[in-house]
Amino acid sequence: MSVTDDLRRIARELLESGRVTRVIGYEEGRRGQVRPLVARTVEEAGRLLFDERCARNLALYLLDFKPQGEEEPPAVAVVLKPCDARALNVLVLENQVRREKVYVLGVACPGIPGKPACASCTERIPPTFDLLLGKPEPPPAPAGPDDLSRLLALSPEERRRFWAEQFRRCIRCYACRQVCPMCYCEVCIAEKLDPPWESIAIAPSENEFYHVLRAYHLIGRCIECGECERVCPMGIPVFLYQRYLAEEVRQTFGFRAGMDAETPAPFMTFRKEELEDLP
Amino acid sequence: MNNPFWPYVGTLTEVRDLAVGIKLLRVRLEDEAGRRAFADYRPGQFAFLSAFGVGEVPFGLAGTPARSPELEFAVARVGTVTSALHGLEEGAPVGVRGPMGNSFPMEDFRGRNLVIIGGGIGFAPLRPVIHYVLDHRADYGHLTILAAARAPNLLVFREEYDEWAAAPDTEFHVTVDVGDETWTGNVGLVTELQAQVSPSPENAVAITCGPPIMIKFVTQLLQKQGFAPEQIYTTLEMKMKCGLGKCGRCNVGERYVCVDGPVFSQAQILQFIDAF
Amino acid sequence: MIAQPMPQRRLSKEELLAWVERLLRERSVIAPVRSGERTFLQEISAPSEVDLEVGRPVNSLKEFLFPATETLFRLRRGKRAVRMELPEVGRLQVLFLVRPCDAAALTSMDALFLGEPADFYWGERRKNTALVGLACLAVPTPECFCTTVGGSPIGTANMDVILYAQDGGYVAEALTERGEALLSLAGGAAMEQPFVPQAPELPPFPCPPIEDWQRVFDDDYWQRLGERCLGCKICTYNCPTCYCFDIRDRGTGGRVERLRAWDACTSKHYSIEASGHDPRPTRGARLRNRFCHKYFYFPWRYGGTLLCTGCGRCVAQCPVNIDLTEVLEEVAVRARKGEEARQG
Repeated sequence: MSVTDDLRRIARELLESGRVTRVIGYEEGRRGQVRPLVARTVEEAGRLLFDERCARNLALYLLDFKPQGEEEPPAVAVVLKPCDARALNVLVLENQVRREKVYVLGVACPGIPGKPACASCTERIPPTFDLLLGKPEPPPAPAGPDDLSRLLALSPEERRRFWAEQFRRCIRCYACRQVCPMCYCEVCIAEKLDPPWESIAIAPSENEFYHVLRAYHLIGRCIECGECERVCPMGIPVFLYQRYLAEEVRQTFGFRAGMDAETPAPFMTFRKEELEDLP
Repeated sequence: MNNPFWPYVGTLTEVRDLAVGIKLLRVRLEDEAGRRAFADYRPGQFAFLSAFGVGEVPFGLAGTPARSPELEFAVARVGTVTSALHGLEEGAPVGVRGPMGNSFPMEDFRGRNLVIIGGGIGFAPLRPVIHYVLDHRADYGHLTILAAARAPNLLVFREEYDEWAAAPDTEFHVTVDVGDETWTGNVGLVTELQAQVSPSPENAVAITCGPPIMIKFVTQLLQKQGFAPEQIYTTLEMKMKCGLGKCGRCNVGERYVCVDGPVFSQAQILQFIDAF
Repeated sequence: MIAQPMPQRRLSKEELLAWVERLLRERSVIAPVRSGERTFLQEISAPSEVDLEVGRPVNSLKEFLFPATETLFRLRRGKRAVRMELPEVGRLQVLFLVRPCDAAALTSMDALFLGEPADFYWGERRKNTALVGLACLAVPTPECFCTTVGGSPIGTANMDVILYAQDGGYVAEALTERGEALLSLAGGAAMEQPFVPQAPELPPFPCPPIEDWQRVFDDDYWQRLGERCLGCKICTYNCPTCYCFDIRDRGTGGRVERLRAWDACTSKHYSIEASGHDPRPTRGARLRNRFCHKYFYFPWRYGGTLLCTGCGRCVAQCPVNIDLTEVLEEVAVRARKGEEARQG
């Protein structure tokens, strides 16, 4: 039985039994693409699939099921690859999602061709799941020098020029932010006009402000799924700076976001003892 | 240069409190083109007021050219631009674009009785209707005015209530949701007052403005009281940016509130395909 | 139109690039430029930068007539007075190698921007802009659907010159007086036999009339579509006919400028009012508004002109496969079902 067959069978059971009201997964789209599906019925569950085209991070859609006021949030199931499941852990750690309300259909991930994050990924199994689909395989051999090492080989001045050139192309469509499960602010600081943090201009200076600020707001939170870069219509290597910062966090704090939902994140945690460490 | 985004420059001649969080701003237009543009604006129209350096926001014109050559705006402080406007001193320069939008069909209302029901700052665009009627008293029938607010300190234009109450063939009622130590008038929702007053739909037109929920319930009750949708008018609000039907923001379905409105009859609103 | 049109002219590739060189002397030239895997329409400084092979650039020609950000006016502000000044608007420019779908977009954009009261900024740029189009003798991309919305792959609407790629070179034809003046700067030889282009066939999709959009307005299709929509602005910003904009001042102290910048009705707080009330609170409602604007509200207001030219960018670029051609099919099918249910 393929992963898709198992997935459909289990999704049907979950919906039929009422264990969940929705199953968030992927379905066949148009023109050879797959696309997210929030299945509600047994019939819709029959459209779910999983294959190597399933790049989108579906943890994002869990934010649509946040509790409203006093109401109990609904129970939903969601198909998560290892990187996606790290996002769930961060959302749980940050009190955005209640873990017991999510039934995780974890997928042992073969890697998604063309997804920049996969080249450097070593996770084969989601760090959290209720059911594991597919068979885990050994991680791929580490790749040779890649974009990040090439970037770090540049001088700071050269790097500044590189990014200035990239951000000039940005049109602030905010796809990078919208696809990210970690960006869930009700009003993004880049669009908050009250008070006005930055002007409405779509221009190099404002673009840089947005990207740099988003990078900072994701330090210690980015789970490196790389979807931000995949959705950029202008081809800006957005994931490059996220990966760089995640690497810095790893080297400085020995911390990787989302490996579990308990370990306090370095930039979200304040310990009084740390004051003594300051020079 | 014909540039509809170019504001006329005006001077703030008065900034005074109308109610809690609401100020009246009076603007004297400084250039000839502006004065010409605003020579005969009509009840229901609006204009964009600029706090230079922050932005511009649309406000209903709260007065009439006949009663004052200076433009009057009732401004509630709810965001950055309105806060900036509230912070301006008399003598400060402001920008004005307009007049924009359609207006209440005062000619069609001639010879009919008018029922005006306004809540909170929603009363501001109804004030020019009252002024217009009082200044053309013989052209209109009986005038009934219901003013309402959540509390006495949120009622606007209180200083004119006596003039309105004393006007010929006019009745004036006011109510607040919750009174205070000095309040001796009606206490209760505007719909309760409306039920009490029980305006007759006979040869009448009702005009209402206020928070969306108020408009909804007042309109429902008016229809129960026998007013046909063609006899009920209101002025709608949507977020606006250009006021010219070009920026695409203020549409309710295929209608732009800035050029097809803001004045609509209930009959037109019932045709609206989208929510507002 | 021209009384006695110039004959068509044959240009070799070299002659075409030499023509670009001459155009560059007195004008800005905007043309497709390759950058990695993508091609963008952008200003060039040399003919060698032009990508002659591109099917469809990522961005549309829109930003060269209606920039992503522009200054409406600047002002110097004192305590008691202001002085406003208009920035320079509109320089001579040629949009080179634009496809018929992009050129066609100017029909609806002109209707909007030049309608009373006319937009000064669009007007200035428009009159200083020439279009040299490249016809699609083969279907450029799998997402194209211009014929569905009344366009044609060999359409010449709004162009000053049209080019047909032929035999390793081009056939050029002037369509307006301005086009003639431009083409007179090119070399090449007059054609003896006129070249008659053949339009390639495109996959057909339904183009539901306004009544269909009205009929399906309350269908839950929109909410289901909204479930996967990211709420980004990709479709809106790269669309040649989307025009929603925001206006806000920038600057502090004595120097201020009023900016106009693109905005998108797909974004979360697009219509939220100061009171906090949001008339379109769900992604589904916002998506519905965007599609209805293009196929229902705009044609209703502007004599049937659709606000879509079938360029296919939104189809190609949507990260979650929201496909406008599928939406058109769904609207047509659901409107039919609704009609049958009513009659049955």
